[in-house]
Amino acid sequence: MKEVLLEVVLGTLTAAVAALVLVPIFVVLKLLLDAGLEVLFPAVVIFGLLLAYILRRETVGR
Amino acid sequence: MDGDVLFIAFIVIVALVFDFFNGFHDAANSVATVVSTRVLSPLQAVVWAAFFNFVAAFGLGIHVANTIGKGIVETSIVDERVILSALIGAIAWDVITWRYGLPTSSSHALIGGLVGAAIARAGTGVIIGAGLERVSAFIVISPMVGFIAATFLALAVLQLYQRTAPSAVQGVFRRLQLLSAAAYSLGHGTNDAQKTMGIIAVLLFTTGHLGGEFHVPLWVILSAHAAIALGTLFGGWRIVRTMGLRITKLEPQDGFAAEAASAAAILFATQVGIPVSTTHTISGGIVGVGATKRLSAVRWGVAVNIVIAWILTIPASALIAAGVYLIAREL
Repeated sequence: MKEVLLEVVLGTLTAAVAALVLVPIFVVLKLLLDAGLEVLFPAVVIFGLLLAYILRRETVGR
Repeated sequence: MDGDVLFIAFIVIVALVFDFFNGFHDAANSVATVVSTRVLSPLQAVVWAAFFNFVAAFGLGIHVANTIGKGIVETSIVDERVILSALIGAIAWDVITWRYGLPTSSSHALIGGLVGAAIARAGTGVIIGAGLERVSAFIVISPMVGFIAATFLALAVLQLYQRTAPSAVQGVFRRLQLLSAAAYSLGHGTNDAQKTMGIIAVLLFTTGHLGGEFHVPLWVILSAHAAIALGTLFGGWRIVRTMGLRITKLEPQDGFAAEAASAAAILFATQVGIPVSTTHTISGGIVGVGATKRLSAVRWGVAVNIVIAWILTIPASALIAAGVYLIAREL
């Protein structure tokens, strides 16, 4: 019973965290889309590549 | 019933067969992570996905259908042969890539087919540049957004559970993955079935069976969702293996992050009327969660093969459709 309750609490917490992470990303995406493809496209590609570079640097040797 | 109506009915059936193949070819991607993390068996997973593919018929709009129907090529040049050629081009490319286990996009195959057949009929002037540009840009944007969103979500989950016992983490995410897989199948159902709806609706509109205004009839909406759900139910295991097992090794929390992020990306695209590939988006998401461990965890050879197939999809299906149209015109 205690384990199930813990799983429910953790599940709810995780769903809330997922919303906190995802909602701002898609709000920004909508704003960029409204600004036009010529803004959205380079912004997403550059940010994605930058993120990949940072991940590579941070996870090297693991 | 005259011959024209029979021919249109035949093309509608071909469109639904395409939708079935779309489910067969694409939809299992939406459950790949649930299967690879062993939360569900392959059979349970495809039943789960098929159910949510069908449920997506209700309440999620038809913006993507409108884009396909009116936003890629001028409707004035669309006739039965153009639509049939587009469908044959897309189905042929889907079957070829399915045979080789490559998770390419049925959506882009359909758009490529439509563009190829339209050009074969009336030249490049009938292509709506802005619409095609938007769709083409999202070939790159959708996997990138899947990658970015899944990376941030995976990092947040990692931070949240760093002091929790691994067995408790597994228990929570095995359940959460059922929800994320359902959300993803919902997104997949609505975005992909709408492409077929758009094709059928533009066929009915240009042949004078929709009245004066372009719209998508309810029977088209329901039959498109039923066809994609059935396709999901009957196929796709070959591609599930590529997506879920070969790109990177996944834990339940990784599967949750990849699916939840990709579901959000697909539902976002659907609401703004952009036909995107669920395959592209989930691939980006899977690469994202793999990269948070280490970039070398991602099997880049497989990822590169997938990217090559993506690049080829629109030109290849366009060429096949153009060839089919040129033959059909002579008949």
